Amino acid sequence: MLLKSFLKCQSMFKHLAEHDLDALARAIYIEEFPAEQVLVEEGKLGKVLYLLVEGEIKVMHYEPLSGVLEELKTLKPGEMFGLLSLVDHLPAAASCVAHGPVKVGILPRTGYNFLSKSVAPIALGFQLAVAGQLASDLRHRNETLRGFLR
Amino acid sequence: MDTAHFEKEFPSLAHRLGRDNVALLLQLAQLCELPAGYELIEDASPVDAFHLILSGELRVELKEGKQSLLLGRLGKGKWVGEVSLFTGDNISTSGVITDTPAVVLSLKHADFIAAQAQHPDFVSALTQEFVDLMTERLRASNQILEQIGEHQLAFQGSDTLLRSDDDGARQGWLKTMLQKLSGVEA
Repeated sequence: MLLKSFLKCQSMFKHLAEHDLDALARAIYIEEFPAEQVLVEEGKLGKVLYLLVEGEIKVMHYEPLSGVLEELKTLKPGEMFGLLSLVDHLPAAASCVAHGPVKVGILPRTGYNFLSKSVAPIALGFQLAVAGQLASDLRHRNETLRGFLR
Repeated sequence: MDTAHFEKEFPSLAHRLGRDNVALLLQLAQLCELPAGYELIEDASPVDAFHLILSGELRVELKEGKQSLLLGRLGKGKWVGEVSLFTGDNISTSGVITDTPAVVLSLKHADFIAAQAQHPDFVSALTQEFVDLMTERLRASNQILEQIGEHQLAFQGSDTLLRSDDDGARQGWLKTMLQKLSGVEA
């Protein structure tokens, strides 16, 4: 599957024009990982942004007292992860683990930095996509907590 | 409010936006004076604008059925209503009500979206502001999770907490968590 076609189908990237989708697709490379592969490790500084293309990713948080990994969320194709480290340059707050074989798009930090700081049209479309992912993550957290009131 | 006044009152935001974009924000946004007790954002309802609080105090609360929970209060320099802009569903995640008379600078979501074509640098600068803001909120919630873990109240433990008869402890934990997620000062 062409990455551009995948990006075009994701509502998150709706702000990008055809030629911008082409450029973004060229900046992202695809890798496949086996089940249980840890792509983002909690406590370590992330170096790339991931876009899940195929498969599922479990977002896990290590609970030091019980020594177990708590599952926070399951990511579906079209979702980005590894974002927080790239935004604030702090270690990852959770681990992201392949639940079965996965295919991901990888945008290196240099590409992320360029796109997040530039004002070129492609950069704006990308920034809106990043904001969309973070807003979605916040909403997911809020809804989980709202459920505790029921 | 003119550009110079805005730069004096909100230097950090003004620096990020730049003078031209501050002027544009002031041109596009509407200054709204609100009385005390005004429901600026209704919880779990459609939102059509985001707001920068210029003065006054607003409370943030969560409603679920007949239950409501006061999360905290927001004041000058804080944003509200921006998360629903980016989720795409324009539905609020909490309610915002004025506790005192307040003045906010309100920018319609539609105007923000329309500005993407003519003023991409303005939209870009504000989006970067919101990306940082949402990142801080997610980080804050993670820190709370870790603190809960340290007190044996992590998510698995919170099941115990939520089943507990100690409603005070349950509400206290929930309030702290939601405050962090809403960007409200604890």
